Formats: sequence, structure tokens, C-alpha cells
Amino acid sequence: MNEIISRTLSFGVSGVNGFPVHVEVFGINGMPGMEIIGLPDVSVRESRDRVNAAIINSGRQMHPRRITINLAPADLKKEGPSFDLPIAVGVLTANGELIPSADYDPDTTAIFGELSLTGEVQPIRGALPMVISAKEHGVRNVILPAQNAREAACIEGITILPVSHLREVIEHLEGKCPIPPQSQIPFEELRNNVAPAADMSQIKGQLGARRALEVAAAGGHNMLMIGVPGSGKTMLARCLPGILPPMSFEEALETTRIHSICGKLNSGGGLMVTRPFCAPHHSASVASLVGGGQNARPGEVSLAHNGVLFLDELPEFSRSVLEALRQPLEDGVVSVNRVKNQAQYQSSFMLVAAMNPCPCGYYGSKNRACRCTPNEIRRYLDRISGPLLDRIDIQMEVDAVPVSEIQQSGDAEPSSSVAERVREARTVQMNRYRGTGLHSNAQLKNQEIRRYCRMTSEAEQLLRAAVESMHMSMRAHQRILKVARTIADLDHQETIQAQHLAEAVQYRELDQKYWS
Amino acid sequence: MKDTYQTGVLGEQAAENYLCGARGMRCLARRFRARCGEIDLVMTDGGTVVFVEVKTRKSGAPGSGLVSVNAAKQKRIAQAAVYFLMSRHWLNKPVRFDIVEITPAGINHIQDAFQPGGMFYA
Repeated sequence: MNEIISRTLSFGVSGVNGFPVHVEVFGINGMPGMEIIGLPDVSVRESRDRVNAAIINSGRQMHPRRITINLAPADLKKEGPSFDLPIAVGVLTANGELIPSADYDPDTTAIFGELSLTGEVQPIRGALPMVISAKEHGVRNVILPAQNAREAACIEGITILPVSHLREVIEHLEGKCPIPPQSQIPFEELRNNVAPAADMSQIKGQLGARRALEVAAAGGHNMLMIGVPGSGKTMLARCLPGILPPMSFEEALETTRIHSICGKLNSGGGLMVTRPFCAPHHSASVASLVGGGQNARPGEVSLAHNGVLFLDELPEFSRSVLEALRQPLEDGVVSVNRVKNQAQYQSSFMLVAAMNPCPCGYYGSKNRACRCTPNEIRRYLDRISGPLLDRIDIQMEVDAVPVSEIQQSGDAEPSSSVAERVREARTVQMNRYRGTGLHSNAQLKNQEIRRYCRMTSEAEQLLRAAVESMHMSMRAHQRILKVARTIADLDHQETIQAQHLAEAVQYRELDQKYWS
Repeated sequence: MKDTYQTGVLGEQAAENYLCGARGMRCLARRFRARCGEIDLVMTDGGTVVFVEVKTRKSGAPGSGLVSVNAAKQKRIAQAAVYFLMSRHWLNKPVRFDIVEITPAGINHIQDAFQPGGMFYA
């Protein structure tokens, strides 16, 4: 036992993708010590001490030898404590403390996990992207922390071996006590046991806003709610994930991937089946919203991928933050570039914004007088730039609910039946746009609008009259058509009729009232 | 001063007796001196070369001697160890650094007490 080298396969994460990392351990006689090379960050370098303690606490010996650990490829930065477990296995093998059975193939078995000093295996971030990448690289078995097992259990064609202590890993690799594999969790099964956070049956009154919410959900339109304090804007927004169509397997995978990287998944939870609802505070920085920081982490817009980004008190957000939203709103992706790394994160979300009509909050209210000067109101509203407003298809005024309606007993229509109508409208859209790369009416561009938004002559006349009387821009005109398309879809009509168009025009009236 | 010196010598003898007797090691050198540092005892334990630092305390709790083997002291021992190994062409032998602490309470032997790491590897 003079010079021994061992190789263990693990995975790292860069952006949203995993990449293979070979943990090579070289043990030689000489000045005892342990050195980790291959661009480790601090948390990887510290794994030396965790591994040391964990091995001793698993009842194995650490031999005083000179040990070099190389994380190949050597030119990619390795971060996070997920290399603890492969390093421990490598050190044990290189020291001859662990003699793997013939069943262990180091090229098709990937290992990742963080170790505690006692040898327990702790959950890691980014388990899902790592397992996906492992599968792409021909890995057949994955040894990972038990708390991450459910998250990875939806990937087919790969055996997940959950572990909770280093001892289990050692005994498994020696062939003494094989780890029972995690059984696959079918996506449908996960999807069946979800309870939405907020239900529309709890919303009293607000018929107009309920309808606007339904239209927004049906067409994937961005939405702005303007209303007095306490009128229920936040409550309405919270209901949105519950009426959106359920996530497809691909969508769930994309969203879970991003949440996995950020370590935002519930431990022991599987794939995310409910659409995310992100409500960042208005003090949020650009980096926290669109992603960034030293290591280019995903921001709130990416966490809201395939879900809802709710910005309460829109004018209170800093100007730079709001302007930074333009790229993700337009393209559904953000590219984050930093000196150290760069990454592209998907961020296709529905924007729902809420704001007061003026600083004091009561401009236009029926019940209370506004204390603001016209100048104050204008300055407040001007914090929202035209280009941002342009990207919001539906605007809605939400007024306080009258006392008589608050005290009314009985529930309003529940989310489930609204969701059913939304789902039908989405199916109509999916069939119509099959093969065009589009998914919803909100994504229509100039040419497609002309092609898909056919209307009756009556509707055409109405539109012309509205455009003229309200001095609408070309863009506003197009957005009316898109929303009208969605309303017609909800109504199961192939051609847009006058009443659909009339409703769509309503969702633009605030342009006139506030921003003209 | 004389007294302290004698305490040290007595302690080192006691440590050597203990290691040779109870632990079955063999002594290679006592008070090995190099320009860069000094090693109290050099032993062999099977095929492993063991460099031993002995700390003797006439009073005080067990452990108080260990604290005084700080990073600077470890560095000096490691440098002297490299010198010792080179002089015998033994650089590819397994190596270990032990500390033996002798207090009124008894002998405390710490195997593999510190690992000086790669920087002294010649």
C-alpha cells in the first residue's frame, strides 16, 4: 500500500445545469496532510475537516498520509458542500479502509451529499439538476441524501439510493448491506394531492376583479390592479395560482430545477406541482429580483418561472428594478453576467402588480376624500414607466367592498370551477397554436394578431370608435385584440364578437383615467 | 533553570520507556537537532516513522501541555522531520506526528496529533 488512487463520480451545478466532476484521491506516504485542488471554493475546502471527523465517527480509520484530492475538470469552479460524500468515499478507498464490491462501478454511480461531523448525510442544493445531468451522462445509480430523494424520484431510468449516514454508504459499497432504492413517484400522483393556498370562494363581491383575474389566467396576460388600501388586491392575486391550469411535467421540472438550485424546496418534498407565487418586497434590489450576486444566482423572476410574480405597491419599487423586468417580461429568460460566471435562467411568469392610485391611497374612492395634490398624484403615477405599462395587458380598478357585501353569508364561486373554465380556454389556445411555438394569447405578436384575431364587422366598428374616442396608440389597439381573443376563447367563440371586444376595451380604461 | 531541564530529560525518558514498552515502538533518535528545529524522540511503529514531541508538566491538568504545541512549534518539528527523513533517504516512508504529555495524573499519548500538510513535502 504505497501509492493508491481512487476515482469517484459526482456532479456540480453551473447555472441551471449539472456537470460531471471526477473526485480523484491520491494517497502517498510522506508528510501527513490533506489538500483539495481543482478550483474549490471555501465550502469545498472546508470539507476536509468534515470528512475527517465523519470518517472517524463512522468507525473507520484515517491514516496519517499525504492525500491529494483533485476535482476534475480542474478549470471549472466547484462550490458547495455536496462533494463531502464523494470525497469521503474516495479517501476511504484510497486508504484501503473501504474495498468496494464488484457491483460498484465508479463510472456509472454518482455520489453527492454534505456530511456533518457525526457522519450524517445532510441535504444539498441543486440535487435535481445534478440527477438530470447524471442521467444524460449515462449514470445508472445515484447515491444522495435521503431528504433529496423525493425531489429526484420523478426522473425515470435512474436508480436513486437515499442515504442518511456515511456508514450506510460504506456498507452499501462493500456489498454488505445494500440500500433499498427510492421508488419512483409518478407525477400524476403528486399532482393529485395539492391544496391551493387561497381560494376564490373567500372573496366577497369584487365581481369585476374576479372576472379580470379569470381572463388574465385564461390568456396568460399580465395584470395591474389599482385600488384603495384594503380593497383586496393582494387577496385576489394570491388566488391566481389556484385558477391557472396545472403545471405539465416539463414545466414542473423547469421550475423545480430553479428552486432546487436556490435551496428553496421543502426538504423531503418532491417536484413542485403548484405554480409558484413570488411576492418580493418593494425594497428588493435588481440582483435579488432578476438574479445576480457574485455567483450569478437566480432571482425572484426565475423563482416565479411558470407561476406568478406579484409586485405589491408597484410605484414603491425602485425605477431600476422595474426597468430590469423588461427583458424577462419580453423574452421569458434573463441572462445574468458576472465577472466570475454567467448564466441564463428561465423566467416566464405572469406579472401581477398592485398599487394605490395616489400617495394617500384614496384618489377616486367613493367613500373617502383624497388628500393629495394633482402634482403629487402625477409624480406617483409617473414612477411607472410607459414601456412597463405597455407590457401589462389588463388593468383593473379595485374598489373597497361595501359593508352589505362583506356581511353577506355564503361563499362565492370556488377556484375549482373558475379553473375549469380557464383550462378549457387554454386547451382552445393550445390547439390553435399547435406547432407555432406559442402557448397563450398573451404571446401573440403583430402578424399573429392579424391572423388569429378575426372579428365580426360589428366588433370592428366598435373597435374603430373606441380607438378614435380614446385616442389609443397602435400598441393599445393590439392589446385590446389580444385580450378580446382570450375573452372569446372563454366564450368558446372562434370569431371575436362585439361584446368580447367591449369587455376588452374596459381593461384599458385606466390608461385614460390615470396616465393621459 | 537546571531544574526545568532535568524535568524535561526525565519526562522524555519516561515517554520513551512508555512507547517502547506499552506501545511496542523502537527508538531511532533522541533529541534530534537540525538548524530549523528539534525533535524530542524519533521512533518507528511498524513501518511508520513517528516523530514525538514530549511535554512534561509538574503540575496542571491533563491537556495543558498540549496547548503549547502551537502552529509555530508544529512547523519547527515538521521542518526538522523533513531534514531527518532526507538525511536517511526515507522520504517515501509513512510518517506520523505524536505528542506525549506527562502530568502528575499520568501519561497521555496522542497519536497522529497534527498533520503539517503539503508545504513541507520535499
